[in-house]
Amino acid sequence: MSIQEIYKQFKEEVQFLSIYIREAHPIDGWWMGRRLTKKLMLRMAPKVSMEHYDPKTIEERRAVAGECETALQYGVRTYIDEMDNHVNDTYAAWPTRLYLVGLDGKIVYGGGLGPYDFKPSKLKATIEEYLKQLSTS
Amino acid sequence: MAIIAELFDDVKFIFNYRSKVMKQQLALNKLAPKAGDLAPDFTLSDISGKESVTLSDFRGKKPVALVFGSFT
Repeated sequence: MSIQEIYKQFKEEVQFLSIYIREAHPIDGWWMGRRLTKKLMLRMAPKVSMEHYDPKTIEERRAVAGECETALQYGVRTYIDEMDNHVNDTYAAWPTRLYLVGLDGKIVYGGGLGPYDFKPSKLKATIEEYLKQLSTS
Repeated sequence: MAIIAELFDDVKFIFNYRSKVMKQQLALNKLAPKAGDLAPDFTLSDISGKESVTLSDFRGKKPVALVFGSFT
């Protein structure tokens, strides 16, 4: 189950926002492009980039986010966290995380820390349940 | 032998980095919004920098799925 699939299924009823945050594995950070780990990463996450440095300006971050959007073809509009990483820190989002915010502005689903607890299937189940509740209330 | 040395070197690098970043992330995670909390509001710009979105603008209109991530 991918985010793209969930987006296609629910995009009329749910607003999807892709929030681009600081890099998970830039070359000048926790780089996974070293030798053997590169092979492992390519197996586990073939679309991940191992060719980018951590952006130092918002313009650089926007540029990398644009490349990401083009490469992954999510279909979801991407918005960029500022260089102070405020939204990332507030939502403890790094490296990857999912949330569902209800009509009342409250969190319906807060996924666990990625990558291991990044579970699109749980988001989908929560969306289905939430929409069902809305339709019966 | 060289492959084993490379593997060991990679594992050591990952382990050291992981210890450092996970400590920071777990500290932030304790403060992260949970189910039932009001979602912290934000306004962010898109890739062009010209159009922005504010989370609270969707209140009463549509539920919002937030997908956080990066290219690397």
